[in-house]
Amino acid sequence: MGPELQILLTFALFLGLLTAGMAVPFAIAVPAVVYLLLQGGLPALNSLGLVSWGSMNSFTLTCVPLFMLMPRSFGSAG
Amino acid sequence: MLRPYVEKAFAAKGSVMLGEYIYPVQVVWGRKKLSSLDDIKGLKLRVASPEQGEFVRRFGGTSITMGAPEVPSALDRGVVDGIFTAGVGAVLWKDLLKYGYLISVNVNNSYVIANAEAYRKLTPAVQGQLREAVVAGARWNQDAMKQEEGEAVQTLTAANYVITRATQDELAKASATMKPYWTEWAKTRGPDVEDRARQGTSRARPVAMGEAAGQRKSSAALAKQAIAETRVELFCKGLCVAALIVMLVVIGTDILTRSLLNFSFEISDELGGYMLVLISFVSLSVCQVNDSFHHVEFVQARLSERGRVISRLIFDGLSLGFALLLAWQLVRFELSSWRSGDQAPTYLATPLWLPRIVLVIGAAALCVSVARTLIGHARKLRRLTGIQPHGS
Repeated sequence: MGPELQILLTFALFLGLLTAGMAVPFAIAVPAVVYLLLQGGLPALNSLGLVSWGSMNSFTLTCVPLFMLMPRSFGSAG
Repeated sequence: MLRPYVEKAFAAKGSVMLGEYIYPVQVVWGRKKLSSLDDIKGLKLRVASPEQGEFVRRFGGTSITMGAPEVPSALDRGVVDGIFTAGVGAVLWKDLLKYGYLISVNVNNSYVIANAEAYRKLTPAVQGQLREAVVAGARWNQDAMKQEEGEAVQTLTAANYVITRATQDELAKASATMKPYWTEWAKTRGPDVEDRARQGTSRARPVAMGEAAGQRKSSAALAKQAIAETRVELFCKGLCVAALIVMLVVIGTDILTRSLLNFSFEISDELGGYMLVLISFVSLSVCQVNDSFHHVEFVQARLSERGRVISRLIFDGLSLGFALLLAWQLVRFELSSWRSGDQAPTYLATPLWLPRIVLVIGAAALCVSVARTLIGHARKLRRLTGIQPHGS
């Protein structure tokens, strides 16, 4: 299967799962894993751990939970 | 009926409830034909609460949320086919609507409250006078709105609106369709509401009853929760709370020392990042059981309840496959960090296997929660298809 077809298939799967009502994070994750498998088979999955760690271990993104905490605190403070 | 629960909820927030009144009942108004429950099918209706949204979905419509200022243009452009409001609301947009289907969907409550501390400082006589004034004001408010509601319906009838009152059969059908939903709904609101819902099951209810003050939850998706949190999710939730506190303390301390003492511990970047990883991964299982992940409702809204449960089962199966795969890879990643003895290139020189272990905990908890969700949906499907488990 050519790379173009793989991308097309993955994208179609993503759109299909998304519109069908699958939870958005899983609708993104499942086609991503399928693409990895199509690209390099099982060894391609080795990157999952490092990518998961690297993408979330970011001080810049700590503002996200703190920003979400702020309105909750204001709301609870009455 | 709700008063003791509402008073308790307000008391927990340091307020005293002095009085209450209700707004006119919420019914459905449409641009397109809307004279029966069956007409809801295929319509896009603007709703004001998750419960109204569930009502629409259960009758084959699509629920849409938007702010009141956007409603006129949405009706005009056909973005929505109808709205839920009382007659007084429909009069405001009477040129944009044509049909009124008077089915008691829900009522909205309003409460007059006072700061408990300030209230207690008043003499008993003044407290009594205040309560009397509030009760009189609330009664006037309610009566005036009731009268205006009657006038509004007359105005709309005179404007050639097609107004249909729901029959007793339709009311019974709507109540029966929504009844299973309330059991699930009550579970998400805590023991007080569950207790009240259990007591109230024999009573006739508005089909999409409004929520009591102080018990509203922010996410519409919570209304669909089918799985209760167990120790796994509670443990994960506790970890996330602890991580958030650590994050706040570490970053807050660094901000203070930097601005006041011109000094930094140089660990906030590192620890903040670790805490974020923890929160991101460990919260997954909590989100899963609470159905807090976003969904696109486009197709789901058009499916029957059985169809929705079957599709959820398929999604759960795929999600479980992914979660297991992720857990497997993260365990390998953790073992590789342990064996290689990787350390963070920072002041703390943290052995990386230590913060990375939260990835494994999060993925394992996610597997458990997805499996529980899958079992929950399988049981629901079994109930819907009428097949009883052996020995039951």
